[in-house]
Amino acid sequence: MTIAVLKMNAESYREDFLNSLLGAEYYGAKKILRSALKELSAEDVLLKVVTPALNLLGEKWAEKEIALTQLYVASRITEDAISKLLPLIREYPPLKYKAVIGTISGDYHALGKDVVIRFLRAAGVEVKDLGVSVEPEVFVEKAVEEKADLIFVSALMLHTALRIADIAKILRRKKLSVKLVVGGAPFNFDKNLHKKLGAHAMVRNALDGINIVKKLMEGNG
Amino acid sequence: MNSFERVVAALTHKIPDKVPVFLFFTVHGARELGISLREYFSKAEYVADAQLKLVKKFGHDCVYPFFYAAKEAQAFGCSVVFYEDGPPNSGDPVIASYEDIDDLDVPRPDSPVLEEPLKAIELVAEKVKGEIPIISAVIAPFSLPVMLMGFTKWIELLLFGDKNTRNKLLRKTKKFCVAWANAQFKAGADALGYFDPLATADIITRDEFLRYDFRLTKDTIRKLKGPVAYAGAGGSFNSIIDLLPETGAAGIVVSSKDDLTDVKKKVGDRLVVMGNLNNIEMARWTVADARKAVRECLGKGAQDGGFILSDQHGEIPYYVGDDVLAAIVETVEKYGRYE
Repeated sequence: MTIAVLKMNAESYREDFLNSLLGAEYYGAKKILRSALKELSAEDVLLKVVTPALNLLGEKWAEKEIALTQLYVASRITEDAISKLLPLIREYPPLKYKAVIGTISGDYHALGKDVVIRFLRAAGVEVKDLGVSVEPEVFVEKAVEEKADLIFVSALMLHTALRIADIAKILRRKKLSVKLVVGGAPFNFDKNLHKKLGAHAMVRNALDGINIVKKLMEGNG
Repeated sequence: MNSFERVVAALTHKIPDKVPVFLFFTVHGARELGISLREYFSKAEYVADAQLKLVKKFGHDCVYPFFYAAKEAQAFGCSVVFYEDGPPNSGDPVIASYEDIDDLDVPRPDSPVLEEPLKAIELVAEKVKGEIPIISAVIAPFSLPVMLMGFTKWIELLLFGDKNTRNKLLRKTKKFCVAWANAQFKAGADALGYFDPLATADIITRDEFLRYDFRLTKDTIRKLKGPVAYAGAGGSFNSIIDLLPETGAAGIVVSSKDDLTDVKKKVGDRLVVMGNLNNIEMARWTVADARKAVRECLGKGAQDGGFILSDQHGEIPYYVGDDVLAAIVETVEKYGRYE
């Protein structure tokens, strides 16, 4: 009986939380999490409210049912929620990977990158933000310096996206096993572009980033 | 029927002799003249000359003496970054903090930065006015802040920031948009793309469009002295498509992600439908790919008129080959005729 009540509470909080994310209601979402924490453990809030709501959000993005502003607000809420919840949870196993991220040289559009950073950090990935308009060589240098497992590169325009091929070339030349992950509008319009540029994967959206990390790094061994 | 008459027929939902084709050449002009993009955009004469050469070469139905979107940001005081193979982009934003909005001066259309773009329109107008439509573009007041302050900062201000600051900025961008658009019409432009990528379903929700942009856009377009086509730079308007005819726009540029038949069904004869070739994929198309894509668009969009074939964005990428571009026009010539 207690378990059933708990489950119902978590589900109803999840639903309310998801609705507030979909409505881009930053303060509403925070209020729901505060209420949830009064009734549920931090672990339940994270695993039964926040995480499934984010998964549902990701599904809706894949179905083109949500907008970037909703994802942006969700990333802010998630970053905030996770930073509060994680210290309360003893045995939450975050991903233990490191990534460097930036927009490719000539590209100054930071929003997509910023949202990806928040979700990756929320998933426990240590992320070094290299900023905007980063040269291909710098991506690789910083990845080596930071001992990063992954390089995330964002591009909003086709002609800047094409420069990502240089990062792949440097990685191959130096025989580095760092995984190259790309994202941004040109990749959504041309599903094969990332392969042409020599990237290991593309992310369609910020939430996708977490799944790609798991997939690539588990495949890594 | 000349190109102008053909396009007017499409705009007024009469049946032209064939589907009009718009090839939106921006950076291609430099390639055509064999000069760098920085040099190309330094003189109106280069842009006008290239547009006239390109229209002669491919036989499409417009000239597009538009420079680049960041020109508007440049007029506000932003720096601009040039590339070898793509449109110039805005660099350092002019609004570094929200306090800067108070002191932001609205540039006049006769400011030195905007002199060459207006002159380019005048130069092509001297040659082809009334024969070939002269198309240019303007950035919507709602989307221009992205270039003035950066995407993240604008979204923050929009969703979480001070309402008065936001409205102050939008009043300034609107004032500029109206003045700049009308200056282009006065110089000889027949129609403009009204670029509002921030309004697309990819970026904001329908509720947000209604809350922040709808009235602003209606009020802006009402003040313009010529027709505009609502353009999302590749983004989809599917969440607000029913609202767009009410904005006063004459047309809509459709994303390659959207179905032309569906869009035509939704807008009826209230908007001319333009699109929706995938300009990103186009960079690696073969001639056969181009033919196939054009035939698909014609099959879905051409019926009953009110349709102009174009790319989804308003820009043909630098690397698209001449053979592909020629194939686009030839395929319309062959399969896009109305009986």
